[in-house]
Amino acid sequence: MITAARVMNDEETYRRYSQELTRYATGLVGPFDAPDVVTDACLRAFDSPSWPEVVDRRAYLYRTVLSVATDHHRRTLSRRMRELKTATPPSVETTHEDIDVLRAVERLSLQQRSVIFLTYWEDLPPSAVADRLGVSEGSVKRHLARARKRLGELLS
Amino acid sequence: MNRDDKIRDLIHRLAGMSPQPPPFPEESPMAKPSAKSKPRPILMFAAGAAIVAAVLVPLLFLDGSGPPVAASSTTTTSVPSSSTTIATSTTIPATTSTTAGTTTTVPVATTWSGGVFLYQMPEDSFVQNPAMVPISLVMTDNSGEVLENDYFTEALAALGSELPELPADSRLVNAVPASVQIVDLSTATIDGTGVWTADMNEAFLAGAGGLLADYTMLNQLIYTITWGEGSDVGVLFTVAGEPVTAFGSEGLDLSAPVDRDTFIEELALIFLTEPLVPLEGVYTVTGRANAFEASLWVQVIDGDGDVIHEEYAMATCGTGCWGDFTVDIDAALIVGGETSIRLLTYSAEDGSAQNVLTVPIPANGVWTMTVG
Repeated sequence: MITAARVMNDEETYRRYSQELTRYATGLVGPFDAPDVVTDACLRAFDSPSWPEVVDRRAYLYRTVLSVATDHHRRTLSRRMRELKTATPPSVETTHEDIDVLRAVERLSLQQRSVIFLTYWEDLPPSAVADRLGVSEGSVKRHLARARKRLGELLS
Repeated sequence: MNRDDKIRDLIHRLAGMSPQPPPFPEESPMAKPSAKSKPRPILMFAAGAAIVAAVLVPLLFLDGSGPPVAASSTTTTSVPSSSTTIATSTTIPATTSTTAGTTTTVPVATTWSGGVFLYQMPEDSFVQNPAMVPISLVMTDNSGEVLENDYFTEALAALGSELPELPADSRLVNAVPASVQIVDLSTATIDGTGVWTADMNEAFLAGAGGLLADYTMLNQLIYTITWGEGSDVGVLFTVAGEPVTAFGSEGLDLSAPVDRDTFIEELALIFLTEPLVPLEGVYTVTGRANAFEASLWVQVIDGDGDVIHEEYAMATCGTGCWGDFTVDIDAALIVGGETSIRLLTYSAEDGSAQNVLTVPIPANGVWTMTVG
């Protein structure tokens, strides 16, 4: 049963992390789908039976956003990029430079996007990225190395 | 500007495109249909015959039936909590007709509805563990013989080889040898937890012919006996009333109750815990998975083998831990007898399908078989 106290608690959690989760989701799926991904991820997290016992809620929400974003991975960004060229939703302004950014990020796997976003936006070291995503530090370093190499090729 | 600076600039430009956060979610724009609350049988035997009589209602074979109740089980001393959905069964009275002075008596037909767990080896690997697949089943005995209490044992023995509707390529298999029988089923309370006590015949002790087969056989029996229940309900196997201390090829000690989690590591990383039956316009795909990032996919495969629908599923836990998942598939997408449901994950390395489990949908939502 979802009690009033529980809703308040979830709302508080949401207020605290929604901004950074939306930015993180933007790094994963682009600016247009980010709000939907965040909404869906938060609902799934709040509805999870294990949610009340979660100690590091921030990390849990990051992982859930990544999981939800996986659903979009294979179809969303390229579709949105096509839409970008023809129509721009009023809430998000984009430029041709933005399209280039999206095109570059599209070349990365979702895990690579996640790792590189946390590394270059939040300036987290690999160990902290590993903690945030619940993966090994070695995995983070592998994804980071591949993402750097791929982006380096695209940006050279 | 070096490579790192360029990447940092790109990521900052990307972050700068972030929109305002959405409002606190009241309702998800992408949310899956929520899992319906399923009837959850809770063991109860104190009422014994009275309860059995109460559930002898007209056949409702999609009602989350549990294992049938043995008449002898009413001797049980301890009773776990209340309420029950036990196997739904109905006895069709014998009919008598008279034609030109000749009387013909049609044998009593006893129908039992419930389910059994078979298994399937994942398609993509010959080293993986088997996946549990629950089959909703209606058994009818037209011979006039009254079905014994261990219908599902009988069903397990017959399934896989005698179910006429089962497609040859379904790869659904039964690890329980035909010689293995449940002599008696009863319940008790051990350390405050309700458990089924399954008294087996001697053939049980030999297992299924190998360690993996032994585990699979045990999982099939455990999951079938706890049909519709969770991991909090255990099963204590006995033979002639004595605890089993040496089972199968490796002499497994089964003297303590075992449950759905006990041998879960011997199962495939994705498997089903509920049968695929239509209910209120949807097929609810329910199971457990230990998948990377808790992510898996459910596909609808048409009669030509083409994927006509794909749904994302997120388990409650993943990447090293087991989680539950539920996905609703619109029943309009399903053609019984042709369509299959496929569950899988995609490789994080190369995007290839992994842990593939394909389950055929029977023509009428349930498998039927006649015994006797």
